Amino acid sequence: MVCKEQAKRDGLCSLHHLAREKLDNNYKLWQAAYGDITYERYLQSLIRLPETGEAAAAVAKLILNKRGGETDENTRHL
Amino acid sequence: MRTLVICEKPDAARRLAEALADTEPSTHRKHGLTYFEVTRKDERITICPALGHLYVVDSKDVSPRRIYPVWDFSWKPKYEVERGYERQRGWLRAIQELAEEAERFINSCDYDTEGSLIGYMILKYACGGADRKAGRMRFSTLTRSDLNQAYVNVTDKLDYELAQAGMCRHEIDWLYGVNLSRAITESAREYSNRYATISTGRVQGPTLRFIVEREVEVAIHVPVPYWTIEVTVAIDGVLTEAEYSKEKLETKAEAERVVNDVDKRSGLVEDIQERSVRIEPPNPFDLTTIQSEAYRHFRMSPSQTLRILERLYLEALISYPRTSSQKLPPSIGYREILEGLARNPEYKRLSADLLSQPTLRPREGKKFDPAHPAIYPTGQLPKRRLEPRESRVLDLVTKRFMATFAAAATRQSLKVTIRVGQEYLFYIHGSRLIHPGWTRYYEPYVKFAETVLPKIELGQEVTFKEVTARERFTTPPPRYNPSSLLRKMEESEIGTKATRAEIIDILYKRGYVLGETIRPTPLANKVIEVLKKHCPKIVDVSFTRELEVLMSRIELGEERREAVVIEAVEQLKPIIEQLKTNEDEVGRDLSEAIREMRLQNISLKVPCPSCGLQLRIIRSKKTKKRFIGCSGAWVSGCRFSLPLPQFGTIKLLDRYCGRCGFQLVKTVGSRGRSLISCPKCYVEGFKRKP
Repeated sequence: MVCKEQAKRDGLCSLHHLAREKLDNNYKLWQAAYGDITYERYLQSLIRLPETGEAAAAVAKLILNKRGGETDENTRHL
Repeated sequence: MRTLVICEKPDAARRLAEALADTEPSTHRKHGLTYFEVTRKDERITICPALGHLYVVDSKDVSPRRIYPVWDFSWKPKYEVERGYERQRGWLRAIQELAEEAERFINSCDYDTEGSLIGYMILKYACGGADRKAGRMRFSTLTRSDLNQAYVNVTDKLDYELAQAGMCRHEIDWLYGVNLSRAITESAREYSNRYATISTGRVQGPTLRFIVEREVEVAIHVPVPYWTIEVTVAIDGVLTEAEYSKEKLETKAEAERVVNDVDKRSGLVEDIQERSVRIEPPNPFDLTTIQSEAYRHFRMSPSQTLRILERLYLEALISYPRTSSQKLPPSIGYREILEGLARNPEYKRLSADLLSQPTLRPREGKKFDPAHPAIYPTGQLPKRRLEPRESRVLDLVTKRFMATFAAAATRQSLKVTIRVGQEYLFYIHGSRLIHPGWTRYYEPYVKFAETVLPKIELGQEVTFKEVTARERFTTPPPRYNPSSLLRKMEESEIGTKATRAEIIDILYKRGYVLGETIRPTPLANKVIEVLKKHCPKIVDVSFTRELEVLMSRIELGEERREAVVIEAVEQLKPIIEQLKTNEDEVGRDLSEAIREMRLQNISLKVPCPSCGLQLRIIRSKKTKKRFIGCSGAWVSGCRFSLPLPQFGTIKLLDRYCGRCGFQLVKTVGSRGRSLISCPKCYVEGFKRKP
């Protein structure tokens, strides 16, 4: 769960689902920009960037948590 | 013969009386209404003011406020419908009595849909159907000369089309506002058994949707990296900034390649382009433009700006502000206005410069308003000391007016192209104002950045001192502020120039939005989600715009008011039916958001100093007194508490005590007096006392 809203697709509400889609789409742009970047590294970078939207950051944390890629204080509650 | 003239506001009535009277006007009072009697040649004129709208739309029969849908409506005196307007009962009685003594009637309210409607309603209902024989005064300023001219040229009948358009707007807005707001409020109340007013409306819904949708864009923004090349070059030992021919580089590899290939190398000046750019003066102010400009320079909200403009208009210092025109017709008297402005030492020199021109011709914009010209100063001097904000707005109007008569400014720009090897091009830009033109008149509201470059020649060698690739990320679209939201509403053609600022204010008052950089609250997100799901038409901009078009056609006499109202009701009926059918679902969705909102309003941001849990404003069931208590009372038995003032409305501020860091509390009393205090310091102050 990322928020209290009712889950609609993939266990996410419509807002977080939109964020998830955007995360997946933009990964290709990051790969092209850096040549080689893993999905985990991509998500970790996004979490640190102030430009990342709240919903996108929350989904990034959730994915990392599921993959066990990040277990810091900020993501443990998700 | 006695003539009764109806004005929109008391100040306007006084000004009209002073303008029309042969001698000093006499002031009278009847049932609480102050009115004026004047003699003009052989004519006796009674001038009485309204107080904005004295009649409003309400349901035809007296029905409980919770019942919906409501389709039957009628116009009623405002004091019968809304609380706090009891004194208008006396005003209407006084107007009725004055009307009995009059044979000729004139509507002298502001010349727009609202003014036409205010006068029409008073003449129709309070003056025994005098609307049929009344005339209309049309003016754009409250100066003596304009008012006298308007009185001489009074029309022989009222501007029915404008009044009908105004009526239609009020009736449709009432039908939509009442039915939709009651539908969603009642759904939430039925579900949660708790009452909270949730409102929406024909323009309010789409406006809130803009904000909510922008917030979604911000929330789901996933930044994309790009690189810019930052370059410092030395020209004859003088360091200056240059830019790479490609503004954005999409890959890190490309950015690094540019840096490696160019850093510490030298290039040759391949081209120098010098050109003069003519910068035309700005257009005269229409309402939206001045609201944006006042926000940009003074951070005044659109509604604050409008209030100040109205005060300045009522004191005959500027022309009528609710205009969408960017035209200044010669009939306003350019020369007289500038001569008037020249009496003010601050504008004396600038006015004199303009007056020395053989002809005066303002630059005009495309926007046109058949009722009024653009906003301009009347040239009269203030009769009282203006407040700082009023002075600023008047200065802005005055300088903008003068700037429109001035010559274009000329800016010289220089673009130097530097080539490094075969592949890389860099540019250095310089610019300076060579002829200030209108900018001299519009200072300090216009500024151009000037970059003066050292002397450069073709073929000259340039050394690249420092070349770096800077990693950047795309940013989300900016949230709206009151000014950009107002522009968005205008671009989308929803609302009117007179109502847009008010709609934005309502969004704040209803707790739908917060902050100067506007963010929606969870309640706003939920309301828009519910409306999009159950009645998407209500938040559809094109639907609102279509209704606006129909209403504007009434003004032109191309459409009948009754037909437009029927059309609007036909559109609304199925929407309300659907909301009624889904009352449970709507109620469930909204109740949760209301609960969250309530909790947010009573939850403090500072933790309990005793146990670290959340502090809340609590009302004791036993004593009915309110205090700050710890939410841990039910969990760990924490007994921490702080007292609160027992009278007035309490609001938790986003500000903290400078002494102890505790969250500050604002209490607003019944007379509007406010007190900001720190509950913790208050208690500690008590403890310190011997």
